[in-house]
Amino acid sequence: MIKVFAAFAILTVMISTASVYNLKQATYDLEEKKRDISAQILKDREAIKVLKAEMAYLSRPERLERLGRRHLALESTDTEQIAADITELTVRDNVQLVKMPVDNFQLLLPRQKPSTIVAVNNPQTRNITSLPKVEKSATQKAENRKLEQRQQESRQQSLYDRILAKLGN
Amino acid sequence: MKPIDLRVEGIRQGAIEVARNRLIFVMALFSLGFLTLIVKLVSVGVFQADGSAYYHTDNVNTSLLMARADIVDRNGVILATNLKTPSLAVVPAKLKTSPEELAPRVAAIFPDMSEEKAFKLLSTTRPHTWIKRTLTPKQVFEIKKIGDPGLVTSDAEKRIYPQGRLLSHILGSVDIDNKPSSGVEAYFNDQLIDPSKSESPLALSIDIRLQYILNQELATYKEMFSAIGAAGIILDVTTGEVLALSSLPDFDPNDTSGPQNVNEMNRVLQGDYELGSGFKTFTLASALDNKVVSLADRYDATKPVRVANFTIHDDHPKSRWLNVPEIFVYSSNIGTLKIAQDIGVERQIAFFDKLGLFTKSDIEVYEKSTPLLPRQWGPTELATTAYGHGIAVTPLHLASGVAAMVNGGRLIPATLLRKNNDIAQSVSQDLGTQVISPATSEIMRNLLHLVVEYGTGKNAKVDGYLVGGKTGTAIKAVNGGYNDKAVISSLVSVFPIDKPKYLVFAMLDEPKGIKETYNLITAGMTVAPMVGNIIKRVGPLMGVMPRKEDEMYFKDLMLISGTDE
Repeated sequence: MIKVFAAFAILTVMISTASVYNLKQATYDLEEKKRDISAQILKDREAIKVLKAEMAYLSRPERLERLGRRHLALESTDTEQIAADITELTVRDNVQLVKMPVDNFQLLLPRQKPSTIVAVNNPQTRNITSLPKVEKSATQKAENRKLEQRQQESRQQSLYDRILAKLGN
Repeated sequence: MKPIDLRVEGIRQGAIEVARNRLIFVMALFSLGFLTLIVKLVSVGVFQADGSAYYHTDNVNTSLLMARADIVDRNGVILATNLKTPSLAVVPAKLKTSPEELAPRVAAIFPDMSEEKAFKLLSTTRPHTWIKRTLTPKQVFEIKKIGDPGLVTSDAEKRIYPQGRLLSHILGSVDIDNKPSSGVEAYFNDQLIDPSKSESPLALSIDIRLQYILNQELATYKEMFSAIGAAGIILDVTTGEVLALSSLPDFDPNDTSGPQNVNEMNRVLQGDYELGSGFKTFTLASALDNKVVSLADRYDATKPVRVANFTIHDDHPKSRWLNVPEIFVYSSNIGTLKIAQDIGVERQIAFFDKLGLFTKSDIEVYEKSTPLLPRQWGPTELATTAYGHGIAVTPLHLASGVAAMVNGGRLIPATLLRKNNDIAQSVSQDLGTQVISPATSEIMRNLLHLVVEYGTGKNAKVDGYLVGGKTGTAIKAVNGGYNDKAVISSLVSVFPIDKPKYLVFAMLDEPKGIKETYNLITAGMTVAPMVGNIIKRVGPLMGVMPRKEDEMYFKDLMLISGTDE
């Protein structure tokens, strides 16, 4: 009984010693890697600093003007060329202005090409977007449908992937 | 098998008992020790779980420590930065090759170094001598290729000003050991060399684009009129931020020697000038705010006035009675001094004091001068200071004062530091002292507008922008007397005048007449077109929308007295 217990204890000691050594070595390796990366970061930061200074030097207003004069067929704008709003440009007197901040536009997302739009849900916009219906052969339609399906699949795939990636993190 | 019950009796029994007791005692001690260990282990592991044990404390520094922090403009453009630049030195004790042999090879690497000079430097007797500072990476490579242990390259930090001379007067410069000599570099030295702030740049209120425009126009007109100097400032009147500040001649901060002579001083902050008619803005605002005059009041400007021993003339004489707007628009010295006489000395002094004209400005550089004030305030001083003579202030004093005249009456100290945009909105409301009432400020805006529209500042008119301003042509005091030929021509202008945002001040020091201006050196002919150009370029850049129609107040009032213009 005692022998079994002793053997077990010795084994445990050996295993734990080995694992502690292993862990220590791994930590040491990681730290070395970290030091390397830190040194690299420092070096890169230094390089970035130099590049930023160079950027500032190369984009001096004086130099930009000189280059602009040499390479661009542009003159400086006159105040006549600037209009505060549309009312200054038109002779019509019933111009209504829509106050909308420039940055309030919807995010531009990839969309289907106009020719593949089947129906527009909004009745208001339907009146406006009266796209000419193009006659298509049956094979073309089938091809289009396939393409659409594939696109939809790929979109779902990518979304699924993204969720997975998020969960993984 | 039955266990045998062994029993020792007699004297032996006692010995065994003792041994056993001792054993139990030792066992108990050990048990107690282990028990304490277990209790401690459990308490540490379970009850006092130390989170920091799971994280390795960061002992590796990845932040780039520089001797001085960067300086950037309000849009983050780098104005000053520190770069590590290698320098070459020679340690003669370690030299393996003779200087004779080494000199031609070292001289070949540096195009601006002769062989004799290289030899002289290499054959030094001192233990460590600099051969060349700021080497290019290629030159370092070439030096390493020579491979002599006596040639030592080491990294030193050098302050770089990528914008060159453009901001010399604001930034100042540092010497070869990165010790600041002037400007913002000197004022914020403690902050710039603080290692904990090494990576947070100092953001100035300067806009490099406006600075360039101002600098370029000043240089062009300085050349055109052969002036000995020029100065200008663009101020945000709602926050007091200095957007551009330029003084010519300037110096190159990359050249570590700094400004060379007195002509290279910062005229905007260090130059005390009698700025002339720009001061009429203050006199008139004081009179209107103290309700001494009303706009319809008229003054006799038919002939020059004698005050004490001086006769005071008008530069643009109308030789008739003028009402208050006319006095301002035609820049009548006689009318203004009569208004000042109605204000009285005490109120005039109190008003100037309120505008901060008697003390140094609060701007964040050390090189600024105290205004030169009259020794005593008699009737002569009251009269002359009314139109800006006999009192010498820096252009910044005038600019800050005029900003207060138009922005609703709040005197906001000018600053070179960017105010956080969100904060600036609230700060500008309560910051600054009210010096005139908003109503008086409204009147002043309209009067300044009239000056540019009909008066002496006509040349500063810009199509599409509502510009207000006041010209000033002051005769320079030279050696105790005045010299008609030497003048300071200045124009302080504000736009858009209906909702003031930017103040542009420009000044030429001793412009000489040219044929195009009929040899005139008045501000209206020399400085006004320059300010017009600046506004034309600055307006669209800062998003000031042009206006079609000009709304004019007091125009009718001006015609009351039947102007013959």
